[in-house]
Amino acid sequence: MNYTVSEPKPWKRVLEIEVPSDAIQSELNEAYARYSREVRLPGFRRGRVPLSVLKARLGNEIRAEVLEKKIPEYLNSAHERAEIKPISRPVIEEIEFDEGQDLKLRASVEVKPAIELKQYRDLRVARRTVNATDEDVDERLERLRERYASVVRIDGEAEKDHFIRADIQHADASGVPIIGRKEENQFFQVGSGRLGEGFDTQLAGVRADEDRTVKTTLPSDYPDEDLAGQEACFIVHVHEVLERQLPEADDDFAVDIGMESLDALKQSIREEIEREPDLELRRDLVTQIVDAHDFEVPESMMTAFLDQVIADARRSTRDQDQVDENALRQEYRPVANSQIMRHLILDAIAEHEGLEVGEEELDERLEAVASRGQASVDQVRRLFRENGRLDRIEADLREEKVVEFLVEHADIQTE
Amino acid sequence: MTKDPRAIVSRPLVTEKNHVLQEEQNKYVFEVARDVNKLEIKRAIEEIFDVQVESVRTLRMKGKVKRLGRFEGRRPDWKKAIVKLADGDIIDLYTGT
Repeated sequence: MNYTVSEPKPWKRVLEIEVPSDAIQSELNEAYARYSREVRLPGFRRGRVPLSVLKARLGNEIRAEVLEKKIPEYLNSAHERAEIKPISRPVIEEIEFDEGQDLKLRASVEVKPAIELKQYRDLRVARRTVNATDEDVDERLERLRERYASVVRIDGEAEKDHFIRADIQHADASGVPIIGRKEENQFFQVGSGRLGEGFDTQLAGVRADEDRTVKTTLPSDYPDEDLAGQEACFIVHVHEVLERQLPEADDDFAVDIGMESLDALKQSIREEIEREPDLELRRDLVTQIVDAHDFEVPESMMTAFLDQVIADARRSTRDQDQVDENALRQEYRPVANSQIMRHLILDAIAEHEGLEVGEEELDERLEAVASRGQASVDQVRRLFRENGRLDRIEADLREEKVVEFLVEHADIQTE
Repeated sequence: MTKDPRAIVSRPLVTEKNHVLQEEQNKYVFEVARDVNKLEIKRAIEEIFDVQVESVRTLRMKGKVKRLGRFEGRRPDWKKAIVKLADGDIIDLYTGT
């Protein structure tokens, strides 16, 4: 078997392989012999089909079967001999084969690009100093309360900042409804001005099940261009008046979001604030290193990343049609690029510095997962090995180690 | 009126026995229309496969009796032709040349 390797991209190898005809012929003969024993054709007893008939009737299928089996073997041994470690499935670009001729094959495969590491030791980074004050903690707590706010129905009149659920019937300037222009069950906030200056301020004081006619000028950036900036009249039928209610900051609230008590919650908020400079420091450090590098990332890694983004987007939206795949791919390309670069660079540093994840470290992480999920370490290990997460966890651990290494060797300026 | 050669020869018959005939005596076996004579077969084969036919022998085959439960039926009778080609001429039965 002869092969040549070319390198059209730093992350791509194209192999041209030539397999001499006799190597394949013996495989083919074996396959023919097997088929002529097994196959039943009308007009022939089993095992009595002459080779010429067999080749004429099933030759293409048999040749395809042999090639399908042998080509991956040839590719693998070529990879091994050329010391190529593929990170993608090989793509076969061309096959040239006739019985009695040499097999010619061109296949491409992607590899981790060789990275020329720039400086990553003694990098200068700033670390913010924080002292979490009670006000800082209270502010975060307030934000948490807002995040867990609920909306409740109230009986009274709508005031500013209340929400209204209503049907909105468009009408012309004299107040005659326009057929077909009715929007049902719209939510809006009194005083937000979404439907034109003064639209929802005129709704102050309405109650549930009340109709009210509102005259307004639509804003100039109204989606319907014909109507933007025009006088408009709406008949609003209010279904309910709603008010946003924040949960009380007390022990019950803390328990609801998974803490033991309000004090414990505050403590964890405080710790979170104090941890932030360290996280920022790590982020800055890695960003600095990634920014210093410039190389192309393998297309297959890019595709895999973007596929993941799309899958996530699909999962989180109920309306499948809303996911605009091409737009998402475009939007996330730069993100994917820097994430993959980050991954490749950290990997290269780990290799360069000989940072490995030990058995015990992996066990430790698995134990943490196991105790959370109430399963034994062995169970978790088996499960993760089966679904491929074990490699991911190991890769994550390795990256963490690299980042810690970078921090240890960084020149940290305290601000 | 000359008949369409492809209406005369309906299909080649490929069996173990016919294969032996082919290998040893350069004879090819076909199913042909029932009402054609040897001369017509010869011309048809020569035209379709572009070969020289030396001789044609024909047999009238009785259709098999087939039963389906208590109903008895018959497959139609048909005609078989054994065509000997001139030395060196061959027919590839799978590509028709």
